[in-house]
Amino acid sequence: MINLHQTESVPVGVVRRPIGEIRCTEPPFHGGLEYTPPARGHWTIAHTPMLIPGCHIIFLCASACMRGVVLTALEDGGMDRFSMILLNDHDLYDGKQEEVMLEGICEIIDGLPSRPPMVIPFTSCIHHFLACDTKYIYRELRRRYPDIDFVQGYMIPTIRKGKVSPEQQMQLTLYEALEPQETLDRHAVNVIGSNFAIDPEGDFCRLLGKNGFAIRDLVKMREYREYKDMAKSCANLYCMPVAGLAAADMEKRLGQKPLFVPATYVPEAIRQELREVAAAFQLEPLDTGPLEEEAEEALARAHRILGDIPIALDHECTPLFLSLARLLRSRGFQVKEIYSDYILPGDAENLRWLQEKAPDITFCAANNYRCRLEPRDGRGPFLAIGQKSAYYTGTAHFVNILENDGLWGFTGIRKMAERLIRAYETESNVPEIIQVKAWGCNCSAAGMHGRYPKSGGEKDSP
Amino acid sequence: MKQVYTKLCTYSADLFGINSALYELGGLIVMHDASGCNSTYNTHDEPRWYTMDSMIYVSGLVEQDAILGNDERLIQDIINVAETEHPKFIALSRSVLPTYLGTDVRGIAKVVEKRTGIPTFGFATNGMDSYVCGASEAYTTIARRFCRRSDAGETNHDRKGINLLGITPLDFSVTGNAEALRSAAEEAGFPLRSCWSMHCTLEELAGASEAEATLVVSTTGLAAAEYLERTFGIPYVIGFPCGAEAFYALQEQLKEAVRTGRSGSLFSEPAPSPKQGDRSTLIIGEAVHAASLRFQLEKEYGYTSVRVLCPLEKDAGVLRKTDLHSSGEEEITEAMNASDIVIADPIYRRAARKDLLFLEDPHEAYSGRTYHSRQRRYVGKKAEPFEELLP
Repeated sequence: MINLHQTESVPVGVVRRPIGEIRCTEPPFHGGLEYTPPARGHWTIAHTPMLIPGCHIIFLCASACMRGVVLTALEDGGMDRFSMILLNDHDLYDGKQEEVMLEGICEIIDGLPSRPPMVIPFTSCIHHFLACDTKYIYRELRRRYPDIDFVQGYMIPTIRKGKVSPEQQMQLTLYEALEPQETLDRHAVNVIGSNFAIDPEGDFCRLLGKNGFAIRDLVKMREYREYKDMAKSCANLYCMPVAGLAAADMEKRLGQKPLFVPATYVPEAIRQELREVAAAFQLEPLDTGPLEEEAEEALARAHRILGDIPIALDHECTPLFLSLARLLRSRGFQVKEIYSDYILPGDAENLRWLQEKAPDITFCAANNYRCRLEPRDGRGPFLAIGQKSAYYTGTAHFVNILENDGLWGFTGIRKMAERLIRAYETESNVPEIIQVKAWGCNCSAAGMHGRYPKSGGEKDSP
Repeated sequence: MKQVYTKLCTYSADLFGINSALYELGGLIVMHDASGCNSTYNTHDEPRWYTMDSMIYVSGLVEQDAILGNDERLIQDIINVAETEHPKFIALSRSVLPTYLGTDVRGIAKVVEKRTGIPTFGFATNGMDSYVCGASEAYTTIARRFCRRSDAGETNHDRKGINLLGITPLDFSVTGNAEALRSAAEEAGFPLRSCWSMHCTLEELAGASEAEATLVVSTTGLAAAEYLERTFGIPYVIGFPCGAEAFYALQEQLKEAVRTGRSGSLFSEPAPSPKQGDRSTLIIGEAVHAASLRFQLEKEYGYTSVRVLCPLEKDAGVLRKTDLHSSGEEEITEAMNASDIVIADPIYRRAARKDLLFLEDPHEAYSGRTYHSRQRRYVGKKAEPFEELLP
């Protein structure tokens, strides 16, 4: 695991290194001042909690911090489920944090047209550094509104490099309102950890579906009751490492078995994971032969069409992005650039493979200050997988994918190959697409499922 | 409770005002913050982010450094970049957490300047004030540090051209209004000496001390204009040409300011006597913008009952006694609902009663990029009229 506090040995301003120089145990690039590229498709703290049907979120902080979340809610049509309490100097100097928070939340709840089933107030860095007594506040809120599930949310970006990251904390928050059940449904599992719905055609979904298991996926839910029913499932499957803490917490609180099924692109690892899923539920293993054949055919077809076009990918396209690079290089694709400031432990073996078999790959920084000043246009033809790599290579041919978009297994490989072909054959308006915050939030999650029933999104730009 | 918002938004913050004002000047600009300020600014408040490179970064404050008060990491990170990239200046602002941790950004700026030899400014922002405070402070700092008295600027007689002060995308967007302001100045017979601060360079701004007058087109520009007046004797006029009447009035006022050396304002005339049956109109927005728009409504449309509601801390002294100053959702809602017509950013419509006439006037500093395509061209002799209000 990389120690992000470690003083980096890489010179300031170096943003491209041969993959052979990269180590799993140290940051690949100098930290310091950070650039934020305009690739905004990843989901934020204002989007993810909206996945819980009917929940109302309240943010508390200063104007600078509030602006991003309120405009996000506006753009995605979530203003009816969003409120904020702006902190000012006087409240903090006069020690009125608790009073402002408690009375503000009550005023908001009392003014809503209907009582929400859940309220998540998000306190920020300043509350915790100034030792705001949130325990008292939540106790009082639960006393005043016994019909509402209150869950404590945290907007504390200072913990980015801490033991629990904001993203991990968000996953803990999301499932905190689930309550222990007397018995668990042995034929129902949850899929947790992603903002994108799991593909029902994905391999482990096929295995579970074939054996009569119900799969509960928060991203697809429309009713609060469905969310609460997640407590009845016997296990939590998660593909994103970020959900590991939440899965462990749910095991402790709810007795649900955690099962990590990382979204890898390495065939042997997929087979192994499928065997583990089968064993965990005492099922006959899935015959992956036909799926593997389809995947290989799709890859071969994609390779014939793409030829030697250089490929770039980034850390946002899928968590184990080096496994994707490894698969593509092993099938003849010309992966040339990888954009990331970290490597997950699960990708260590894939890094070693690439260092040995594909030493010409360049590892590129994604947020170093110097990224702002590197040439992005006129770099020749590229096909990008992921928004950041599309931005940095200046290409119009890209697979617009985040968090692996619910793909999994050999079926996921087949679908990725099909997306590569589409990206190669189609030009995209990259600036228009990648500047949209939380790709998919307004159409696949919120809009289609009526999470934002009244206003709809405000989408004039970009 | 005044701090509670369930329908309305919040204005762009002080840090973002600094970034926006300094964006095109070749500096290294650092927001001391954990994360969030950077993405908020570049996503919502900075329409130039994709197409025009500028060295604006976040420091990435982490818990460990916050608790231990490790300012040295910030200092070294800034110096590392400065020594590699050689910016023309360095600007450091801070968000709410460093403010309450007592981070001395002015002290840090002195240390950085001493070690790098590059002019460095520390802005004691708090993340709670609006962009108006930040941009205003940024302009004043640039004027203090870079504008110098020269031989050519010793007397008014030797001076030429005007400064336009207070132009950022936060107030004028990137939909042609900034360009229209430049054209209007030229058309009125005043060569442009400097434009603070779109389509300009730091060197051009340094030459502002050689102008014969300044036109202050938003509240953000007033403090620097006052500095230029105090220090170099350059008079200023407040207001911008919103329609032909305002254009000619400002042209005369600028000539008068150049002739007499006295500052003036488009808004010095008393309010017109109310006509019976005139519809009560409320304009919400940045004070100079709202007052300039009111000038047009009164002079060209014949309206007599127009009030301005300024939701920002500073109003450039252009409000009338009957105008309002408030940022609270409840008070703003009351003021809107007591009017027949409201002209404001589309977000305000969320809090207004449905049967009043609501005319959209998108403001980047409020709704960010959300209503770009609905932005009005409100600058110049042919400013887009509100058809619904035409007599």
